[in-house]
Amino acid sequence: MNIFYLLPALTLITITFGLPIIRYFWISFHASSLLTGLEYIPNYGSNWLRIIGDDRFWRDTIQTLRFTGVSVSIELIIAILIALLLNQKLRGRGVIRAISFLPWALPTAVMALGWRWIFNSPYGPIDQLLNLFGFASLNILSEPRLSWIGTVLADVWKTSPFISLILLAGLQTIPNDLYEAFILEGGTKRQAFFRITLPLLEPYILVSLLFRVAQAFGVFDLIQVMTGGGPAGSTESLAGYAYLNAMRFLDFGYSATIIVFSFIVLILVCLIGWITISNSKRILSS
Amino acid sequence: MTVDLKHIGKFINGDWVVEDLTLTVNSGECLAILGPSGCGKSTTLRLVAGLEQTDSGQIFINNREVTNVAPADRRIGMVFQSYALFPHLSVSSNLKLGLKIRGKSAKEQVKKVSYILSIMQIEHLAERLPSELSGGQRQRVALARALIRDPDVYLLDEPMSNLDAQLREELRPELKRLILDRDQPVLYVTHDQYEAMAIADRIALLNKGKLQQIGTPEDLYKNPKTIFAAGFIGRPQINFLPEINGMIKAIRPENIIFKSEGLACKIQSREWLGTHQLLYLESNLGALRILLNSETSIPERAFISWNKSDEHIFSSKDGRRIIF
Repeated sequence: MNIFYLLPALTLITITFGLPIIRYFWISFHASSLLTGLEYIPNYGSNWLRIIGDDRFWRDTIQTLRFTGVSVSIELIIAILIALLLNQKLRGRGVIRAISFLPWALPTAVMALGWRWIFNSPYGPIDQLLNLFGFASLNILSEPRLSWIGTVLADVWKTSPFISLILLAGLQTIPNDLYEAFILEGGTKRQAFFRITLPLLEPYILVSLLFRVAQAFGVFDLIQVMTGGGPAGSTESLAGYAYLNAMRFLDFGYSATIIVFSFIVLILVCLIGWITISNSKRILSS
Repeated sequence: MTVDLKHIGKFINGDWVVEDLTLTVNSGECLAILGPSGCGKSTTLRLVAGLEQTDSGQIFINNREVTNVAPADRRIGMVFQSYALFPHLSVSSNLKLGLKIRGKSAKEQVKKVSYILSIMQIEHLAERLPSELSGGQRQRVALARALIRDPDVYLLDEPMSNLDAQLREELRPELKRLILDRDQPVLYVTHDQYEAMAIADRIALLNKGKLQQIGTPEDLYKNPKTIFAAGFIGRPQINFLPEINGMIKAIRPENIIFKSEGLACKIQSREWLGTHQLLYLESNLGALRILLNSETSIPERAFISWNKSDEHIFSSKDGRRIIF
């Protein structure tokens, strides 16, 4: 009987999420490109075999993992600092909070264009400043070894506020009494951060990490606008590679395989995260 | 062991939350700080704990001035209203944390914790998290955490207010045995006058940051020094009679009796309370409450009276008791 209450949500999820992923899974076991006349011809897993030997795919996987790992780690550290700051009783705290969340509110394409201009050589402010003080231009986005750092910086700028918002909510659930009790026990503020704030913030950190890892692993728009995956593919992400296969090479079968692969990786990551969260929630629920 | 507050004050947002408060808690004594919410009682406790800085006056614990000493170095054991147990730590880790921070050896930590757990009779809860405890159990852990420090003074901030009435009654003797019967002075903040009377040796009554009266529960009840003290202590509330010549008389409901002649009254309503009954009367001295034994029969035409000696008389100018 109660299952009826689930039906609306279940239907929606099935139509918007379940069916497409099943279809992608199905396509990944078919050849479907210009060569097949866009017909779906079963190829019995050769897409998956192709992945194993595809250097570009593995390069993109590593680049995507690097992008995700580095930017989410930096974001987390910055977000904790921002959240701690915004949790203080400052004058004009409301205004500061509003301003600090602005980057997150900007459309990705717009802010990505902005960052592309910031890194522009020789007219962007970074290279201008470097030149002004007599240094050579960096030209980050045209330098294959540095370009990914440019995309990470832009991503950190945009999404740190999102994490700090979640962490700020978490900080506000920690009663001040706990800090006072801790100080009475002889603890310092620094110890309080590591012994009270961080452990109590753990579920919030995990939730925001889950969101951010999933988002960063599928990064597409930011990179597409900033670098288009270049130079020399040095910023290409898995999502970008899947997009290229479908839209430029018109190889839908292989594109679907890449998408299903990233889906499986993400599901595993989320599962681990979810189990960790439910453990820490069990501890903290009162 | 003593606590001395000398003219302490706390100024917040243009107001003295605590003003010129002087009092002493003696060795082995429990002093309840009683008052309505916002009277400054919790602030007083926080000043003694060092969680707030005084804006005037001095605080002495054991004749050592601690006015500017860090909270951790004041040798106090505090119990918070919320208990403030660390939610991510087990009961024994909650108790250990302070010992660990103070650099006690692992062996000593275990020894002390198991000793405290046994006198609190909560050994079986040692590995539980605070979220897995009942309200009464949490309170015990909070008390244990104060005890384990072997402090010079105990500060209890409404330690019972999160418990239901029955549990409070059960825990009172327990609290007496564990903390109040020790040599250390105890400062006990509460808004509940029954609790204050039941637990404390003396009560300091505060209103709007000022000390109204300090004395034994009996003293406060029998000889209230101000209109506020008379009105605050004693339930049902004392009856204030209309002002005459700058004097306000007050008479407690339990001191009024029915007589064959006296002040004529009309009975408005009656509350039956088991051991007692409370009547609301209308007379030409205004509305009056009268508390009677529940067996007392109520006459049809009611006349009431009381002994002159039971009257409390206050000046309407400064609210102080007038002594003839």
